[in-house]
Amino acid sequence: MAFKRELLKNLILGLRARAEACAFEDMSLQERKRAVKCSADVAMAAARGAAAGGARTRWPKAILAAAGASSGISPGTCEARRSRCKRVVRRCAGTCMKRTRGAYYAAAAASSAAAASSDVVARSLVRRRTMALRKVIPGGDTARDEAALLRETMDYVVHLRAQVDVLRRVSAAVQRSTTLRKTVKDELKEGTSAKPALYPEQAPCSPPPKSPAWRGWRQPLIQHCALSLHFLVYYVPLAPNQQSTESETG
Amino acid sequence: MSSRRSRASVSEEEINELISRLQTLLPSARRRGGSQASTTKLLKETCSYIKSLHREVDDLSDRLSDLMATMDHNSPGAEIIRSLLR
Repeated sequence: MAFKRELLKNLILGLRARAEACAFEDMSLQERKRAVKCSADVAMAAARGAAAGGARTRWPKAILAAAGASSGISPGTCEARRSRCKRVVRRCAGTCMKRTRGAYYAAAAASSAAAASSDVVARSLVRRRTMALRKVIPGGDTARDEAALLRETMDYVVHLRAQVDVLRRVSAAVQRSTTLRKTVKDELKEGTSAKPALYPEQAPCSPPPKSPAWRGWRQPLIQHCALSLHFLVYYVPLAPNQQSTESETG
Repeated sequence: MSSRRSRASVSEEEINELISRLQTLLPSARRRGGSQASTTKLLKETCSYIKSLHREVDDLSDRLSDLMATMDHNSPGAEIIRSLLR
């Protein structure tokens, strides 16, 4: 849970920093999507790196290094040159992998002819799967052995699932506040005298409950209306007691 | 020689233990119950699962960026957002 809170905080800070550098409305659709995705990945990697045991894992550093490298792309000819270089590097890496694989399979074929046993075939299959796994795990190609790769994989899967969960909740919260804002806007346009309903189940004319915890209907209304990312820290339901979020993460 | 062999057997045990722990993380672990799948199948499943999680993150990021794009920038709510993000 602490990791999800940290991830959410980092995501908000990251999106805020991006909005300061370049307003979201000025970005193209693709740029905006890339910005959100990159912010989500960097937020996850930073949260993991800061958590206990994070320094021992490789994938957060790999994500942050990749994000740092990609943010350095400058427009114009530099970008074209860099993207060409990246394509060349990728082609070379692919060719090298093919050559290595080819050499490996040639050696495997020769050894299987000499000692045709199912063990060799099974081991070659495991090696192939391991190589595929190295490609999907950030920094997986630098893992020194299978045990280290499996540990990285487990750590990455757990935190990737948490990232999906946080993004799902953030999207739902933003969707809810957008819907609520539209409802409020429509009701104000129609000129209804009743106070707008804050929650779907609340009757429009019912007065707010007079409990000590109720801070007046205006403040929650503003908070619900505002598509505020700061508001999401309070209202994205990550834990039963989300009011303590701010005090824990600072 | 014997120490090398024992070192290799220890790491094999370690790998088997890691593989069984990895199996519990996969969504198909619940369907399969307690039975052990082959290492190859497990590794393949892990790759597919990670790729599906990546796709989910991409879709959710796209959705979030679309939602943020539909903000009405002249609304009072947007002004509050701007003041809070300053």
